[in-house]
Amino acid sequence: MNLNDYKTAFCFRQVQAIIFNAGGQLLESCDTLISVSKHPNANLFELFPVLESVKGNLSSFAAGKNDKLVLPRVEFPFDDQFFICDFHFSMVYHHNQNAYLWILHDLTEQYNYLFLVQQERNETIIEAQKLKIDNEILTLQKDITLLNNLRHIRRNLNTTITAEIEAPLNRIMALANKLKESADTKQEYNYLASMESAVSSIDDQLTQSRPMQLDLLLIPPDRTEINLQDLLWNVLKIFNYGQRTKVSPVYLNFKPGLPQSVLVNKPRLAQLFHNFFEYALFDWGSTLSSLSVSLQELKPAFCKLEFILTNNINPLTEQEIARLSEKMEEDLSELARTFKGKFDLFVLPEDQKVIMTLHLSFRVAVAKNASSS
Amino acid sequence: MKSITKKVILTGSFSVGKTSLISRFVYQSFSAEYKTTLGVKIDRKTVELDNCIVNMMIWDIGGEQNQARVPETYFLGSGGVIYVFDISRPSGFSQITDDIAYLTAKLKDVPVVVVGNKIDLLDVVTLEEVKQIIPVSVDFYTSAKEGTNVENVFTHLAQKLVNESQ
Repeated sequence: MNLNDYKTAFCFRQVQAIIFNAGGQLLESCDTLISVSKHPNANLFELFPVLESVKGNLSSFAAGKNDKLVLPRVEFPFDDQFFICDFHFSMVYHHNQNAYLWILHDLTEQYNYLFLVQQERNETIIEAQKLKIDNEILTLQKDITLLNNLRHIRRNLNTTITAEIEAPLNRIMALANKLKESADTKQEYNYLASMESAVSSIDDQLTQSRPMQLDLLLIPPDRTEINLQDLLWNVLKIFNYGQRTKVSPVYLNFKPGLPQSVLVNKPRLAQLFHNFFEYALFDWGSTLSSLSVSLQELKPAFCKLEFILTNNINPLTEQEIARLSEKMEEDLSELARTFKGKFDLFVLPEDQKVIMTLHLSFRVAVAKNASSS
Repeated sequence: MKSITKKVILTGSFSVGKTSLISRFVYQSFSAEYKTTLGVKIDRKTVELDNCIVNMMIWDIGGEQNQARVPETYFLGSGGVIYVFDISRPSGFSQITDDIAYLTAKLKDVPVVVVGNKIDLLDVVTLEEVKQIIPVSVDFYTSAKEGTNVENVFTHLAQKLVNESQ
């Protein structure tokens, strides 16, 4: 034997050649690996799903064009044995007719080793991914523990602060209310009403930040049902002392259709109104003339509430307006974001009216069986 | 009744449950043991629809970390694709978009059904949360272990193949 003979003998044990026609009929097989010849009448397309799958590709082979198709690592069972072979398909001329040559190259041993390597690789990757997730869970659990501790500390602190402050505040409110009854002048009455309203606002904030309410995060803090007009009047009362020189009081103009009760975060909305009025009164002083409130329904149960403070007695200069606008932009932007509101300041040139607007959108509470209008 | 034969490939990353989906669909069996698929295994299953019988040649392609590593000859002549990913392994989600783009570019006009497998490993709440971070539209969420939606995946694809052939 020469080297070629050894080589041929070695390859012989690993390779099988099968020839079949376009109809899937077996024409010839060396049966080195699989005994196809035992099924002379079987249609190979039916016997091997892989052949049926590539039937379309084989039929596109053109005679004499050296077309071929290689399918590496095809796992298949035959006669209770399992093989992993590379398949090579090409067209041949066999016994005066075009036929297909199917070479099966048995690499089961090599691929079994590759299988072990790949199995280990995949398992290692999955294990690493699992470990990473476990570490992330551990980190998150630590964060949760830390947050729970912080919440506990905050709850204790709030409990102490709230109890210590609320009691004297309630006494101040009660006293102011009592003194109003014996007020000698309208101005004195207004001072006391101002004080009562301001303290009430602080009391509301404390109520809102009570530990129990902070912990009930499932119930958002904007669920208090309030009378909107009462809230506006109460906030405006705080500024009564500043209107000593005002010729006419601020005129609150509630447009028809304004809801009586709304679901809002009362302390924060009161704070927003307070800031809004404060800016207007601080810069416009006694010349503030009217506040109008109107409602526009955006969609069912959601409304846009528009507040317009108008100054038409003593118009501001352009510089003053610019300064006021800049101040509002800086100071109120965060507050506006919180409430998804929008502030604007502009001048009507013809009648010199200076207008400051606050646009808010919020949900309106509608009682059952009540008209939505 | 009309009958068509189509090659369908199941592809996706490794260990996402492609072989298990086929085992459930073709042999109504499931094994929890992980056994990697090295190259390709081919099974046959007939799906009977109201108007047509679809003979599916189902190619179970060994999972690779990305589809570009799959031998191109495996894709030849595919009539439909089932792309499978593991819903319980978010680390693999980033690859899904690229994989599907690759497949749709390689196999133009071939229907691709996207399947999130292993839903039995997640509780209902977590599953809903995970659905929010999947970067592609998913056609079916399945469990090869419990058989959830497995038949539906293949029937859905079979119907698409019939529609394509008309």
